[in-house]
Amino acid sequence: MTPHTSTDRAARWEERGHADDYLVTSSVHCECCGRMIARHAWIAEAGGAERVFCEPACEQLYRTFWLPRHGGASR
Amino acid sequence: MNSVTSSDTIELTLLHNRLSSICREMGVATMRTAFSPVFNEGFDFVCALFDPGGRMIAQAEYNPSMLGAANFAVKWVLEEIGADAFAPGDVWVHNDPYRGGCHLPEHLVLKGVFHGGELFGFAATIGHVAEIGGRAVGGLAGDATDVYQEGLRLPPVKLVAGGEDVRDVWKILLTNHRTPKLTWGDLHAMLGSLTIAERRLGELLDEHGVTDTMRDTGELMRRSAAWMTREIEAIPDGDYEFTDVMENDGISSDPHQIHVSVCVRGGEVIADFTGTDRQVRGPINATYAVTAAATYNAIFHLTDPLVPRNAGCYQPIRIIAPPGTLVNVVHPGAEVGGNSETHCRIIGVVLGALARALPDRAAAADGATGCNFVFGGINADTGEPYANYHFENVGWGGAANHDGNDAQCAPLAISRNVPVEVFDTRYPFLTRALRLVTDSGGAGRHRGGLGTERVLLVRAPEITVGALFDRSLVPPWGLDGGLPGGTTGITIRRAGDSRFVTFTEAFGTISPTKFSNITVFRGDEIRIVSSGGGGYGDPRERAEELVRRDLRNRYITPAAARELYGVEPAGPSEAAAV
Repeated sequence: MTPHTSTDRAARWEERGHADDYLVTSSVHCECCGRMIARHAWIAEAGGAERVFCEPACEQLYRTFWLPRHGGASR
Repeated sequence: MNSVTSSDTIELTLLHNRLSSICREMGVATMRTAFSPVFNEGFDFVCALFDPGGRMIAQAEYNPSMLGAANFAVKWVLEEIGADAFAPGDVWVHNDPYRGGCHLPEHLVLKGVFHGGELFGFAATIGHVAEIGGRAVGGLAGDATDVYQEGLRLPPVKLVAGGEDVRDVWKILLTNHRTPKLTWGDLHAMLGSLTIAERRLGELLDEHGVTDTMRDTGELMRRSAAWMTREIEAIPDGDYEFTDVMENDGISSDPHQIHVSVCVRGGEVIADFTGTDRQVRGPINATYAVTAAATYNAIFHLTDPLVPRNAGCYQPIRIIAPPGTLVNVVHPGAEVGGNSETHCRIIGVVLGALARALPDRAAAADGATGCNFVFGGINADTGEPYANYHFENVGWGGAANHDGNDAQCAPLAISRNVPVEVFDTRYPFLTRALRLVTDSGGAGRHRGGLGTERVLLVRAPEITVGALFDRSLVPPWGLDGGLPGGTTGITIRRAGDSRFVTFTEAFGTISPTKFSNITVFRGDEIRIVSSGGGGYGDPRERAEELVRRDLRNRYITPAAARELYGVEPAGPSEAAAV
């Protein structure tokens, strides 16, 4: 698993995806890149809210690219 | 490896070539032993090797759409089931588009490679299984409105356990496909490729050991990432935007927009598809893996082809694809044409955006459609079911320094044109014509490549057919003053009729180019026209000798020479060219 790179102490890995739960038909997606999360999500606070990312690199991209361009608005 | 020496580089190059050769040999085995022409002739498959973490360590030059997607498909399977779910001799299969696949027909078979009881990595082959059940024979339902109509969807399940078939899974698979013998043959060809990989990797690991080989594949990835970063650094930093449309989804006549903003900064490319339309009812929605693969494909067109193709070269390329849009479909959105059609368009928008940054490497739009024609039925002589997925080649766009290629597979794949002799032998059609379409290449200083026309005579009492084409209304765009390429079409002349009409006119289909389950009869003729590429640069700047050569080759008409290129045909060979 990728080392912790967030500046936020609360950032952590969590089991969020439910790809292996076949009773659930919805999916969880990275709030930066949009990729589906199969099992483990990187949870970090960004843009004033706790967000779900697929990896720390996506959290960084969210901070350095997404927020400056699109703000904190959801898609 | 702390210091780099020339001997390191030579050793690493040899390792890279050896790993790539293993992937190529896997592909040759697949091609030679599969039952379907889509494998034997169409090369619609890919073979690659991965490390225990799911990072690609090598690939061969087969279908690039699947290569890009394989990065996601393998990682997602490992994330979901865990690498420890693999025992020696196990093979897992899945074709779930929402789990990293490109579209439902493409099945991934994945096998752990062990050496001395230790997991070295994985061998993977992805192949397009031509018939997967669902509402349309041949797997590409042009009017599907959810994934359940598109065929049998398999999450990651074990197909082989310890070298023995998991018969219950095979039973489910073969019962739900219309042509079980083909599925059995094609999947076994793919399984054979994994055995080849296992054997060849075993030989490599006997010589070099697991630890050293893993260290060196890691170094190859690092070097590949660094090389790709340098390639991207050579592109001027900036934001480059482009928009194109899918002309309709087969369910309504509305066009749907694909928008990209490509940000190049500090050796990294970020392709942000925010602003793309929401996902649609029809089957043109692309999966995340499609969008990523298409973006990689476009970037690879613009960078050094010698960069080793492993996980490293993908690393500096980031993709943002909002879920629930045309470029990142969510369950249960229909998606089968998102690969064959929308995939091409996504490559095009990324290339279109970067044309501003790299005008000397830019090209106009290619034909950008698979012109997918699917058909099947029961063989009247043998009583056996048959089905086929057929696609056409298109013209490529004129580029800054050359004309576009004629009749070449759209850039999402490297598939070959199925020979007429093979097609007519395997299926109850007679190919009455297969030729380049005059004037279908967009005019330009560098002309777009030509599309094709194919006319098929139905020889069976009846055949069920379907189609999934785009670019029938919105032509491939020209660049820098070049003109658009020709559009696609599929029409039918019923036995005894004198003219070709659209399927909408003949059968009342909603879309003339996206439909399924139409029955045609002996004596009917089907005409398929593929798109040409857009032209590059002002046609009036095209060298006169090239215009005259095109006239003599019947690539353009005398009228086009005169009106578009300003060249008056001379002599009978030019004036009566068509």
